[in-house]
Amino acid sequence: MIPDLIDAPETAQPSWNGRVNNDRTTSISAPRDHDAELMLRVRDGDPGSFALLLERHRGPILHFLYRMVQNEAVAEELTQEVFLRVYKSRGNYEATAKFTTWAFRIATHLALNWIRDGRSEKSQTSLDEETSNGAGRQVPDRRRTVEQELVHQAKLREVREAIDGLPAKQRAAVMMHKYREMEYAQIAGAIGCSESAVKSLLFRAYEALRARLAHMA
Amino acid sequence: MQCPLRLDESGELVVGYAAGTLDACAQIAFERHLKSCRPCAQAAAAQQAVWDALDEWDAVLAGVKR
Repeated sequence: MIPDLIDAPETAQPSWNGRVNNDRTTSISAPRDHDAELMLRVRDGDPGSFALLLERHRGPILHFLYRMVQNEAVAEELTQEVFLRVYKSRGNYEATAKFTTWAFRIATHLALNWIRDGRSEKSQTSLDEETSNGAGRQVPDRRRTVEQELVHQAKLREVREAIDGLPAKQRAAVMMHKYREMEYAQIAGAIGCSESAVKSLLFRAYEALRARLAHMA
Repeated sequence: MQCPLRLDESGELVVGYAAGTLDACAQIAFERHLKSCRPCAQAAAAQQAVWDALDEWDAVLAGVKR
């Protein structure tokens, strides 16, 4: 099953008609994919390289999944599953795609499945339930007055509801584009669709978010 | 500069402008356009609001993760 996830073709990232800088992902746009080299070493039986990959990518994967599922325990569990799948598929690994694209593809797959199965609604430890503000378990900022804090909480709840209102693939695309600064080709590889589909997902998502959040300007 | 809203590319420009990923020439041209195009100016302001709101939301999530 996992080898199917390695088939994302790596294509050169076109500019936005020459208008967009392409150096947003400095760590993963190096000429050589160091991560792929590490993964090839893992395939050849070097556990130390897997530890390095885990160290480098666990945080970004965890944060992506946390933004997607908005549940810390579930995000941790899914992150563990991502790296478990990576490790299990080491024997079939071929460096046909950037490691990060592959890892995010697994993570996206797991997150979308989790959301699709409606497990987010069943979660007993959702951030909403813990705080009733929909914004996350945060410590109130003592620099704000009570009124300012209430307004802040309401704003964050509104943002979260807007994000939750997005279809899961649009949400995944926004999370990768906004927070991981991934390029269209990488997002396409992670989601498993074409670059034009990614553009469409992103534009519809941002259009929806603008409609809901523009008044915050 | 033709209005990007009519060229079906407003998404790229508006999002790129808020994200700060436009190259210098595109940014200058778009800013010039914004001064005379109310729909684009509104879209750019709205996208900036979205960008800022997502930053604020993420800061809260990051706080939870610490």
